[in-house]
Amino acid sequence: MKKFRQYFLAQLKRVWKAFPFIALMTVLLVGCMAVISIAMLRSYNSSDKKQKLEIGIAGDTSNNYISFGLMAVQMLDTSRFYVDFSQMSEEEAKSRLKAGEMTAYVVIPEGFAEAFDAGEDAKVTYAAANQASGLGSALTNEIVEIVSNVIYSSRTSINGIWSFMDDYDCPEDPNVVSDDLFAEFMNLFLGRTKFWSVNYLGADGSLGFISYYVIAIMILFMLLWGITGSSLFMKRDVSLAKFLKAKGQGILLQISAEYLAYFVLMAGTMLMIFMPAVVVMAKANLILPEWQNDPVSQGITFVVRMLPAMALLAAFHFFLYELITNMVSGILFQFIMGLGLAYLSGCIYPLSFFPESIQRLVPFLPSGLAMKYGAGVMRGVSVGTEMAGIVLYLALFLGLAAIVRGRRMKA
Amino acid sequence: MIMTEIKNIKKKYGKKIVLEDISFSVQEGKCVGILGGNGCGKSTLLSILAGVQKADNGSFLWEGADLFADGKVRSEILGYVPQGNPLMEELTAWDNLRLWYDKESLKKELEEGVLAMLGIPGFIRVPVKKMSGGMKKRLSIGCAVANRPKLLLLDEPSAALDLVCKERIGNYLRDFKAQGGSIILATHDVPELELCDELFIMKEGVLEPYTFDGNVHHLVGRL
Repeated sequence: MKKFRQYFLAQLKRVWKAFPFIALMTVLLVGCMAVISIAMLRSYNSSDKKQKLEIGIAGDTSNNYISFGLMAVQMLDTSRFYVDFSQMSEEEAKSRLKAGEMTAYVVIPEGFAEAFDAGEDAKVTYAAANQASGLGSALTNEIVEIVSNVIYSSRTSINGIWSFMDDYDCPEDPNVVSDDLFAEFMNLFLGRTKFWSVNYLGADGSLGFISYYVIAIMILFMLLWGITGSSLFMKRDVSLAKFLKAKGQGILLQISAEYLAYFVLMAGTMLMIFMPAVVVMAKANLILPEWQNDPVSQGITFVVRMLPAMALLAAFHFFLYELITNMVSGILFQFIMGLGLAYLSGCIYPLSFFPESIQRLVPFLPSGLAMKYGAGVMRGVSVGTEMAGIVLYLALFLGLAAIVRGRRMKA
Repeated sequence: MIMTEIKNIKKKYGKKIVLEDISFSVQEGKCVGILGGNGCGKSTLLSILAGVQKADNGSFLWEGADLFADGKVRSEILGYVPQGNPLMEELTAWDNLRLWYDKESLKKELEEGVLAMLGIPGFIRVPVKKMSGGMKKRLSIGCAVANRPKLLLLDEPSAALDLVCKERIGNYLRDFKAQGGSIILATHDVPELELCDELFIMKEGVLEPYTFDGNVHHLVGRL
């Protein structure tokens, strides 16, 4: 026990000496991930906007039917999620189309409604950017089709009502009647906006998207953080391991002391990063549904409860470094393995995006197990099975590290 | 007269025989040198004797005690300095030594003991990564003798060291012998041969006695 304690304390001293370099690498890693996250977020937001078509409406929109019609088209299920209609002058519409800020614009000529009513050949002009094909062009064509159909159908309906009233000698003003009916019809359209509610099931079927990605980013960061341990593990002389063994400190004792010191380093660093991150999230009003009661306290509790996942990933890093002793290869290997496992485990794209066969395999990967454990902790459910898995993985990685070291000592 | 006896040690890696029936003895206060080319099995023999690896066969007796069976006695009476430097590079000489010495005995040894003899006080607060090869080797020996061993196993202790360092280490080893300690030394170094009371050549896993006549060419011819 005394030998273990002495060696463990020596390893903690090593960790302390190496800490400035590790802290610097950690800051760089946080910076890189922050830059990438912000760039991705901005790209997502702008591409979200770019996915929506903007169509300008110019000309005479004073007529009630045209106004109602435009409103109807905007509220239609088939167009409301990917089309924005904006009213503007024709000059403005032309310049915005030329600048590429709009997909197309429609010009309703003066007196269109009256001419249409009188049965004259009234046409709406549709101007688009020069696209021979493409989604924008196809969608705009569809919208024009829809608008024409709506106008035609409503005109037909109005004529039908008037004819009915004529047939039955109704004394009311047919224009007033058709206006009232049309208004009633529009109310139904507008009323339809509230007949559904959206319940986001989230990426893993149980957690919200943000909660899922909080865990995913944590796991991804912990996986990539393994590269910062290079200064501790590289250029190690196997002669020290031989020397320790000759002095009665066997391989398992060596591995245990070194791993524990590394875990202390990793846990300390993660707590120093994630705890303030939780506070920042709360201040920025980014409150997860699971942390509604007390975002800071519940968030910090969550971070602390993630220590077993940190232990698992620390053991993973430790094993990889035992396997590869060359510095450059070691860092590359850590990076590739970390990123690969993060990708497969749903840290980058949600797990639900992957085929069923992959989804079944993932909980057995160390990173997948860490994700599953994190999800369980987040939801506040029992994580006994996941903990058992973590303990097994710890034994596996440290056992394999001991075997590798034994072989290196014999060489 | 305490005698260390190594008898019939065998070691195979797969089908390759590394050590074949290695037997010799070391008297109290004497040094046995083992010469041989690279990869002949010298380091393997020493690591087996130190308990780092297990022999397939054979015995290692000290005062009648089987050191292969009794790891506790082995770690008490043996000091082992492998090839390379068994030190933690980030730490100072003091921190490395504290792993093996308690504070009081470390201070005492630095003032007037074996560590003073090795010249370690001169670089006690220097991190290992900033030390020269000679300093590292002296520190390694200092760590190895913390338990006041009776038998030292040294694997090429003077490799890549300058003459001054070699002389310093040589002086220490002579002193160790004079105080009754025994040494088994694997070496390539001609000056180290002067320390040895008995020489063997290891060739293809077999140990043969050898008498050095001072002619290096003859020695090379035998290797």
